[in-house]
Amino acid sequence: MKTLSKFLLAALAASTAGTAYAADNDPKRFAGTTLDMLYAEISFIPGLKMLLPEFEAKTGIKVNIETMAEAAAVQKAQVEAATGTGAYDLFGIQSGNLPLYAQNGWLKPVKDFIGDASISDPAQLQIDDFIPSTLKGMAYQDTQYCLPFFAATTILYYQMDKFKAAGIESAPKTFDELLDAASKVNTASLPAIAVRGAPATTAGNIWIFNTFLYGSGGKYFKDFPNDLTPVVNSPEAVKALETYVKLKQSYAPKGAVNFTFDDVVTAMQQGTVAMAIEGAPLAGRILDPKQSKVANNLGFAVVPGGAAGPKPAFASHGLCISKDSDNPEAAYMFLEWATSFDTMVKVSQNSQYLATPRNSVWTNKDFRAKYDFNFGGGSFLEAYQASLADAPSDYYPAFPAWTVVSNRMGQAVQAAEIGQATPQAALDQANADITNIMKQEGLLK
Amino acid sequence: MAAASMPDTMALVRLSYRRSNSGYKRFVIPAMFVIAVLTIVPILMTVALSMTSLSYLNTRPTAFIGMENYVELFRDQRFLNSLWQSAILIFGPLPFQLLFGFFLALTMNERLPGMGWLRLIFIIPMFFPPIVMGLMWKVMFTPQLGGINYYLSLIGIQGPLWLGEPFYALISICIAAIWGWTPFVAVMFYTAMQTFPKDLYEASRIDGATWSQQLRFVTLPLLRETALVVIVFRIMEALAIFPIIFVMTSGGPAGSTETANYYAYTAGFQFLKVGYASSIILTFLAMLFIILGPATRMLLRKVGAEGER
Repeated sequence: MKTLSKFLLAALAASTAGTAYAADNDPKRFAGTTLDMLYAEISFIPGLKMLLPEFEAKTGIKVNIETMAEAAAVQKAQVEAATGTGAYDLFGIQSGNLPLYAQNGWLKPVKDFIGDASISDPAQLQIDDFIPSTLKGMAYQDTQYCLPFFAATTILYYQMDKFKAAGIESAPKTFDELLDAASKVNTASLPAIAVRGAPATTAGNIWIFNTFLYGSGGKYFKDFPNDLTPVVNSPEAVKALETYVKLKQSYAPKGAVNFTFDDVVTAMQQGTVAMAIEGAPLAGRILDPKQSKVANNLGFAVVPGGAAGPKPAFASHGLCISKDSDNPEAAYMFLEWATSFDTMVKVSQNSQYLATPRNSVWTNKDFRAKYDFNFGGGSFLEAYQASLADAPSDYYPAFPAWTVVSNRMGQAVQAAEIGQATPQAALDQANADITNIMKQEGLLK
Repeated sequence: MAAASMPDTMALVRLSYRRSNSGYKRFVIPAMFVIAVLTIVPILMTVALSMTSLSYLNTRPTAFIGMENYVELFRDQRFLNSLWQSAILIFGPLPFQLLFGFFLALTMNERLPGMGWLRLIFIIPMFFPPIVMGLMWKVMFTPQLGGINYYLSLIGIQGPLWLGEPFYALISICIAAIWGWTPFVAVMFYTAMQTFPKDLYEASRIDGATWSQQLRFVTLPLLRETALVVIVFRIMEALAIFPIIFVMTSGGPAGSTETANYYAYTAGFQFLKVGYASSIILTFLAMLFIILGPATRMLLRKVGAEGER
């Protein structure tokens, strides 16, 4: 079918233009193809959409990008992939979700296309330019499945004048300092800190809680991936949850167990909290001059840590080719173009996009001019880069059943936060349930 | 001419109907086909799926495992909790919907000035898609956005963390459901009241019945069948509470507002444990059948009997 349409296209080109011929490295050899892509409306995607006419002019390939809320997009993509509808040529995928796709064979790995001179251009690809952890997040068992376009981590945002007024000299570096700073800055009208509490998944409280868990020296499994015995009720894990619960119960806004990232962004942006631990890529929104009330007053720091040091969250998001795509080569051409240096710099300028996984963009002059916020409390980009350096690339253990495990853990964290169970009891129950989940999945005897 | 041909046409129709007494079958087939394709086949497929281990979380081949999923269900505390929470969210709002719906219908039935507009206002919630309804109530219940707790504070009551505590989260969803579906009950009761024979009221008035006696001895007994229909409809439709939960609490906090169908959705679409999710939803459906079966049968028998008359 593909060869036939290629042939017809060539015939058409030859008959209309007379001399034109679709050579193998002709950028227009897939002209007339339409690609469909699905992902969440996260930064980069809106800016990328604006550049689509440029790609179409260059290659003649038309791309439709369909976006929806993150949870909805993730679910829709999973169902489309599982049922093999072929409705989409490209999916966006978050690193924590890649094992599911890879293990089920739902993707055509990009490694199969890299090096194919007819569609891949090493000068455009510059694969060594990607931050290694982001590239690793888009690989599974040593196969490169996707290329990253988004490097997410968390940082601590704080209002400098509130800190100064409370007599706090510098941003807290440990959990103890964090609790101490929170107690000093907290007032009835200004709660000290906002962090996500919902939903009970990686898109919600687990994105934050793992920082406390790993930072305190806790972990999910005895020795992932060799020994998958759950250890989420270890003394370190219990201490982590106690710290987290204390912070949320005493120093967070009312009802913060329901705070999604949107609520946290709004609270920080409107200055109704003194601190927030949130995604660094969201700085664009928090500091948006049109809406922000704290723009000139924010300090940025690497998140605090415990016995094991700071463990900022980490996720990379990438573009992947569906195994059911009719036009995988054209899809690859788009993917390589979309994740190229040129495109990323343009997107960073035409929209709020700073979560780039390319080192070269970080040093780009225009990029730094737009995003290197520094209001006297240190450089934002430096805090961001330092966090990326500290962030464990295996922030989410890479195996498909992680979605069930993380959901169970998220429930336990919420239960402790609302006082339904003590941290110890909540984690004991979670450990028993996760053991059961692992057995059901055949990962534990 | 036209007037003359009319009876002829009717006669022809009658004739042809009598000639092929079984002709109706031809008209039933398309409907049966649609029902088969859209309802029976999917249910049978779900039954089949529920007896498999189909899951995208592992690479084990999908196998037929008989009733294993069902056995697992009753060991799954999350499922048992979800059943209990379903019961609260289905049956909790029902008495209030019936009560408020009844009084709304009584009011709508009165000939008062401006009643046309009031009727419209009463049924406004029916125009809200459940998603919008959920969003609206979420805003009302969120402390930072004011709403309910602000008005409570005006009368000196410190409102609870509505969506932040399991008990109040369930209450919040019940309140939203009462608000959203009371108008449906009111409209059903109101239309029923419109059909009540006037002579019954006149006769009772001649016998010296007061307004409240009329209500008790005429209106309420006449409404009994409608009430049964309403209850069956509301219970069946209470499954549609899903979008409200999705928007208001996502089943939280700590799973305290997760209903059985919400859990099935999570297991199926988030965890991709397709076999297990199928067994959840079928068990839930079976339970609803057991509860609704007698009521529905009674209803159908009544309707059938009236048709004979």
